Amino acid sequence: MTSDIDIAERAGRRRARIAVASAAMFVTTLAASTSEQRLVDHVRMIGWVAWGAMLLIVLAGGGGWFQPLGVRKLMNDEVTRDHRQRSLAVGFWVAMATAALTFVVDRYKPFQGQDAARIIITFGIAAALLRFGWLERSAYRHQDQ
Amino acid sequence: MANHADLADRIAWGRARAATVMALVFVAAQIGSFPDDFPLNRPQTLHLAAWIVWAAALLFFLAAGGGLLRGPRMRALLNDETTIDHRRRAMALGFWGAIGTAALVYGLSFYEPISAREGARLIITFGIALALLRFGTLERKALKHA
Amino acid sequence: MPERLLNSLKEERTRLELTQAELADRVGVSRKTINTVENGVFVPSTTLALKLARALGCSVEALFSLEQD
Repeated sequence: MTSDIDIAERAGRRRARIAVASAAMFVTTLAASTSEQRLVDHVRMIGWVAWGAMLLIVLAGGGGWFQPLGVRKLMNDEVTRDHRQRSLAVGFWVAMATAALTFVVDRYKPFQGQDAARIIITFGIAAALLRFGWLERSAYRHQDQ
Repeated sequence: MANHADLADRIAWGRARAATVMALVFVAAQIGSFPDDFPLNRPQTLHLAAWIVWAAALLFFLAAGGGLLRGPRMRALLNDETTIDHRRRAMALGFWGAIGTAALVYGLSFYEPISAREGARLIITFGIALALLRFGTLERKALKHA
Repeated sequence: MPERLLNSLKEERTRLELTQAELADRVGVSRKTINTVENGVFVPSTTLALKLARALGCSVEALFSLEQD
């Protein structure tokens, strides 16, 4: 019989892999999107907003929403909560650094606040997710049976 | 040892109060300085330069925790396990503040033109202010029941 | 210089012939948590340390100690 521990471990490993992959894919959406007003750009924008919101919810709550309560508690135990805090701290610094960079770049090549906000949000979220995924995956390494 | 602990407590109180005050003053100082004219006039250039230095100093304070000139023993007391935890929780809130402000800038820019520079300044200001406020609050709570 | 926390969690666990998963189940945490505590990567909270000690039938001091300089 599969125990909650086993289910939580499989789901946790999956979450860590998805976090890293999502971070990389989310960044690539920057290259594809523009501030133009064509219908396809509106669709891309809505997609980016929805995806970003979903990733933020994962960062806030840890995912595993469709798992039973016992499994969710195991997926979000002390170590994962610590990893999440550390990841959000990294996200803070990357958001600050990206904002500083856009501030400087705008001096030489002015662009819109909308684009700056999108870049800052994208890199902030991606950095936090990458760190979270990396910490979680490192925690599973060298695991005994 | 008791003297070190007392001194560390007093410094920590000062740091906690300073964090809260700095956060509020930092935000208040930005009122009236938007939007930037382009090209900037002289007072705006000075104001921006001051903001850059101030923001960098506050970020350094958040990262390092202060007490740099106090020696390693005092620094260890000022940046113990509890403070490290508080700082991390503060930065987590700073993340949400930055992302939330960026989302607001993103939404507002559909109705009101905002330059990248203004947007970045808002995001940095509120990200730092929220982190500092949270740090100050956590530290003061911890020191209150000491 | 911050002290390093040493632990004999793995020794106590294997003495009782428990796997990481079985110990995790007793304590109510994920196997990853047991793994990171054993490897010294994660410093457990006092609550978790007490739970681990209770699950292994020993004292917290028997499980955890500070590295002497």
